[in-house]
Amino acid sequence: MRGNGGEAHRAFLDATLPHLEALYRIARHAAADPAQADDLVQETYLRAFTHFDQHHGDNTRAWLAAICLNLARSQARSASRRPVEVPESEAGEVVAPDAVDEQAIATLDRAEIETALARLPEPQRWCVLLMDVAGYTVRETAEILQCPRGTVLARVHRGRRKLAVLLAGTRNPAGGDHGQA
Amino acid sequence: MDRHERSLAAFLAGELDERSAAEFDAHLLDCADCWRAVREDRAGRAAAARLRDAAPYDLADRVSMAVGLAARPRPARRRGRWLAAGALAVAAAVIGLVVLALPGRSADPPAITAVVAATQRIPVPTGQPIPPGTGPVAHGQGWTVRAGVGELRLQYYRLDGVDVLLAHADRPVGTPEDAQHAPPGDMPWTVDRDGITVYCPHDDVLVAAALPADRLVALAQRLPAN
Repeated sequence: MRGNGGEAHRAFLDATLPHLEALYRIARHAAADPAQADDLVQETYLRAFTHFDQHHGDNTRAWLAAICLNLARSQARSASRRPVEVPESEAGEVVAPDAVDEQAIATLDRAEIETALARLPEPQRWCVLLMDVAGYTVRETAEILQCPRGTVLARVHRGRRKLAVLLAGTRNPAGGDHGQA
Repeated sequence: MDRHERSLAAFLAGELDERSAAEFDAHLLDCADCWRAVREDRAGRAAAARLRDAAPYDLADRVSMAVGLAARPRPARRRGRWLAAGALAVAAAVIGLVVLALPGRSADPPAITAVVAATQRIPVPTGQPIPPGTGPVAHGQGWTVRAGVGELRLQYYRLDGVDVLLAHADRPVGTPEDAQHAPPGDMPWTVDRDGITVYCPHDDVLVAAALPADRLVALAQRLPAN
């Protein structure tokens, strides 16, 4: 794609810049260091521009998100700074507290939510991030993560529950977490 | 995931048909576990939604600039040098360096390259015209770009009816080999790249415009923080 002149890069920007907000929301929480979210977005666009002639325009928004997540994964591996993860079991991994106080969760500051999100197992974290933070649909999320939509539904549901349980534990550490490592 | 959990996830996603959804609704009245799962799902989704940040105002400009630089064609005479540097450039891209294209001279410091490219893209100002003899008036929003390992804060200004670019760097920008020092031996220098004059009054400040060097130097004295 490089070297095709101004028309090519303007066509690329016209097709991709409308999705900048969604990309930033992903990068903000997928980057190994949140302070490098801008860099990750920029690198995503540069990588996408290089391969734009191979993109057939099916879903540019999902295509950009897949590039962004792949870059974030490889950067995290390089930096060896992956967020602490909780092993994902197939069933029964969510141990509910006595009550998830939705009003209390609503008063948590965003740093606590970010910390809890970073503690989710990666498959669940990506689903919550894509759907609930960045606004992608189930179908788009399945395309980005290359997994069946039923798997996405299960993961996002488990991720949300675990997030709520972790946050309830944050608000009420004496009784809320029930050993959710 | 068992059938029960699958039904629950489908219900929460609004994917059950009307009859199945009504049945599940009725089931929720009697099943404490499912009701708790619904509450946790909704609480988790609401919490995650609070992380929806707006992108920084200058990110679109920064991305556009980086793509614009990457799109610039390279003169054929530099192809050999470019190929030799190819592996290094790819590695630089991976770690987040942006300024890969070399629109000026290949030996130019990255800050010079970025400033020349930005000057070639000066947009037409909007709003009230600025008469000659007035200014400087900033037009457009300032933005930050990466240049090599450093960053540049860029802002367009209009004064005396012409547009200039002011760049503040977070480190010394370096000096091109063919820089013209005036007076000889002093710090300030100018250099011409493709009809763009770049003026460096301090080691971390650059001013650029499509103007003769003497006129640009005179105008630069009126720019802020210069």
